[in-house]
Amino acid sequence: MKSSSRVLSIVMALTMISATFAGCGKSTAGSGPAATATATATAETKKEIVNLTVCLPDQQWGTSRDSDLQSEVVKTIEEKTNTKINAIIPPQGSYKEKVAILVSSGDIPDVFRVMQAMSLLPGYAVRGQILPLDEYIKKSPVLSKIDKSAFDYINVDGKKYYLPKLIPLTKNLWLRKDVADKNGVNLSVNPTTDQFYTEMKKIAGSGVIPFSFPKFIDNFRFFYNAFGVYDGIYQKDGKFVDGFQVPETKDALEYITKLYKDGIIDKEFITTENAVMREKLSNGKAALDIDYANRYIYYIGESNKFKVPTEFLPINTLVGPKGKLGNLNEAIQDAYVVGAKCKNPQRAVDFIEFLGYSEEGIKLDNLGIQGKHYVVENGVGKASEKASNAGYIWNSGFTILLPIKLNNLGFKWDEATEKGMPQQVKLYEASTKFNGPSYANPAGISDAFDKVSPSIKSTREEIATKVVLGTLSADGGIAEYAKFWKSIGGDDILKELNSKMTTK
Amino acid sequence: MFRTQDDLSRRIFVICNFLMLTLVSVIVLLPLWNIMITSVAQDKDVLAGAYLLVPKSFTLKAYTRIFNSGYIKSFYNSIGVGVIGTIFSMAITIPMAFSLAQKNLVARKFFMGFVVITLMFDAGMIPLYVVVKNLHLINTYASLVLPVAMSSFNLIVMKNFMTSIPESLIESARLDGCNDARILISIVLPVSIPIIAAITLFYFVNYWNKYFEVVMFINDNKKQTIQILLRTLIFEPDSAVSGGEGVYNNTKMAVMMMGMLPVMVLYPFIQKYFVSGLMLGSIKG
Repeated sequence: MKSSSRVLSIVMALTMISATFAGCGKSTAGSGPAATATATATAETKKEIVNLTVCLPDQQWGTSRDSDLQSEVVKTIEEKTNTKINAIIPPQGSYKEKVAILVSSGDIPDVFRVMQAMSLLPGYAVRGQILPLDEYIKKSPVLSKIDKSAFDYINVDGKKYYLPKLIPLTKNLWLRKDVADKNGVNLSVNPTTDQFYTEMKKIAGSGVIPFSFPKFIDNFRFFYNAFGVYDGIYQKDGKFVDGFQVPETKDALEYITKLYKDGIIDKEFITTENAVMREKLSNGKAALDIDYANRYIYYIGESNKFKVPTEFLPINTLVGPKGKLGNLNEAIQDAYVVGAKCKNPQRAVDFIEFLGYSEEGIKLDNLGIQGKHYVVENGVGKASEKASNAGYIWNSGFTILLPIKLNNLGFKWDEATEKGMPQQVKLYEASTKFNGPSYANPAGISDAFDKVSPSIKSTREEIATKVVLGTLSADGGIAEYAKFWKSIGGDDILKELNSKMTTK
Repeated sequence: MFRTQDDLSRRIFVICNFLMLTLVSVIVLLPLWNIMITSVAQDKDVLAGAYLLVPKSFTLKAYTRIFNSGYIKSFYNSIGVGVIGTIFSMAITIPMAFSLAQKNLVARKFFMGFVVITLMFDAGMIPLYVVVKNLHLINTYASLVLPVAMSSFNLIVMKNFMTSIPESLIESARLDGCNDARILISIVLPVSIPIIAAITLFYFVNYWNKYFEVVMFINDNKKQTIQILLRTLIFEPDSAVSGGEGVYNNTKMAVMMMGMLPVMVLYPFIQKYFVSGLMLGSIKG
C-alpha cells in the first residue's frame, strides 16, 4: 500500500515536470534582435510560384464573410502575385487573440496584419518574430515613396518593421444634430472642457444616452490630451518620462469621473463594445460617441438604415483649463508585417505591396470582385445579393485613409454617398489640425522595461477605471499607481531607458 | 381557521415558496420570451433596441435572411461537431468509466490518479495549440473533438454511478458466461440510462458552445461554427448580415434561437433522466 502510494507520487511528480516543459517549444525566431533578412528577388524569381501563409481577418478578404467569395478573392490574389496562399481567416473580433497564439506558438505566418500596432508591434520586433523590411522598401519603386514620417511612429533599432495599412488614424466625437437641436446643445469643433460638460448635461435624463463610450480605456486619451497628460512612457525633451505621473492627471481623472457620475458618459460603458456604441449612436439611443474621423458617411448611412436620419457634427478636441488640446491620435493602428520564419521575404513584401499599395489590390481588399461582390448598374456600384447576405461592407470611408490615391474605382457611389463625400473629406482634413500626441512603446531598449511594459499599461487602465467608476478617489488612484511604480522599480527603469538611449 | 400552529407555518412556507419560485421562473423565462418574440418581429418594431414583451407582429424574414446567408453553413458545422463529438466522447467515456468502476482492475488507483491530475493541472492555450499542430489537426474538425473528447469530470461522475451498480448483478452475469463487453452492453448500459442521458447532454452542450477552440484551431471560415456567427452579430453587427439594411435585433435574436434550438429540442427527451442521473453520479459509491 505504502509502496504503491510512493510509486503514484513519483509518477505524478514526473508528469508535472514533463507538463512544465510541454509548452516550452523554442521559437526559432530567437529572443534577440531580429535577423537581417536577405532577399534575392529577381524578375525570374517572381515567375516562380511560392507558398505563403497569410493571416488576415475575415473582414479583409473582399469584406464579405461568405466563404465562397473569400475563396474567389484568394484565387485572384494568387494569380496576380504568382503565389499559393494558405489563408488563415479568423473572425475580426478574435483576430488579435489568434495572431497572439500563432506567434507565441512559433507558427508565425509569412504575412500578417498587426492590429494595435503602436502597442504590439515593437514587442514582435524585439522578440525577433518579424523581419525588418528596410532592404525591400528601398528596392521597391512604390514602397520607397511612402512618407518617411509613417515610419517614425514605431521605431525599433532604427529599422522599419512594418508597412502601414492606412494613413495615421485619429478619433473625434460625433454628435447627432437632431438630439443636439432638441436639447438646445450648442458645441463647436473644439469646446472647452467646461463648455462640453455644461452643454452635454442638458441631454442627461432626457431618455437618450448623452455620451456612448466604449469599454476600451485607451480612449480616455481624448480627455487626457485636454489636460496635457499622456498615458504612457515617451520621450520629452530627449528624456523618457512617464506621462501619467504628472499633477494634471488628477484633474483629468476627476473630469472624466464627473462626466460619468453626472450621467453624461454612459453608465454601461465598461461593457460596451465599439459596434454596440456605434449602433446606439446610429439608432438614436445615444447623442454622442467617440469614433474615427472618417466615419461621417458611415453614420449618415447607418442612421438612414435605422430610419432616424440626421446630420452628424464632429467635435475634434476638448480644450483644457490650460489651453491644452488634441484629438485621439491612434497613429499607425494597423500594419502589415513579414513573419521571421518566412522563407521568401521578398515575395511576402511583394504580396503586401500588391494588397496594400496597388489600386487593384486595394480594390480587391476593400470592395472585392466586380460581378461577384458588387455590380455596376448605370455607372453606380451596389453590393451583390450574395455578398450582402454575408456581412459585406459597402462603404466609401476607406478611400480617405489609403496610403495611395485611388484614381478610378470603375463606378460611382450612390447619390447620398457622392453628395456626402466632399463633406467627409473636408471634416477629415479639418480633424487633422488637432492631432494629439502618439508615441509607440519604447521596446527593445531596456529588457527591464520590456518585461513590465504590459503590466504598466494594464495597471494604469485598471486604476483609471476604478477612479471613474467611483471605487477609488483620484488621489487614491494616483497613490496606488505611485505604489505600483515603486514596486516595479519604475524610476530605475526610466534611468536605464535614458542611459541606453544616450549610449546609442 | 388553522388546526394547529404547524398548519399555519406550513401554509406560509408554501405561499412564500411559491412566490419565490414564480419570481425566479419569471426572471429566467422573460429573456427567453423576449428573444422568441423579437426574432419573429418586423424590423420597424425592433428599432432603437426596443425591448418587446408583447408580440407586435409576426414574420419569418429574419430567419429567411439567416438561411439565405452564407452563415447557414456555421449551423450545420455546429450540428456536425456536436453530434459526432458527443458520440465519440460517449464511446470512450463509457468503457473507461466501466473499467475504472471495477474494483479488481489492475493499477486502478494509478489510472484514477492520472485522470484526477488532468482536473487539477492545465498546460494552457499555447501548449494545447502546439500539441494539436504537431498532430497535424489544425484546420480540421478533429481538432474540435479529439483534444477534448473525454472530460475527466464526466468520467468521474459516470464511474461513481457505475460503482453503485450492485456487484451481484455483474457477478450473476459472469456466472452465466458473459464477458466484460457483454456485461457492459447487456447489464450496465440499460441500468445507466439516467447518467448516460445527463453526460450526453453535458458533452453536447460543451461541443455546441465551443468558441475559442474554433478561433484557435480553425483557419478556414467554411468550417466555423455558429458561436462565431453569434459573436459577430452581437459585437460587429455593422459588418455582419446586412444586405444594405441595418442588422436589427430581430436578426440577432433569430440567430440566438437557432443557437438554442438543438439543446431545446434535446432536453425534453432526457429531462426525466437528467436530475436523477446527475445526483446519482455525484454520490461516491
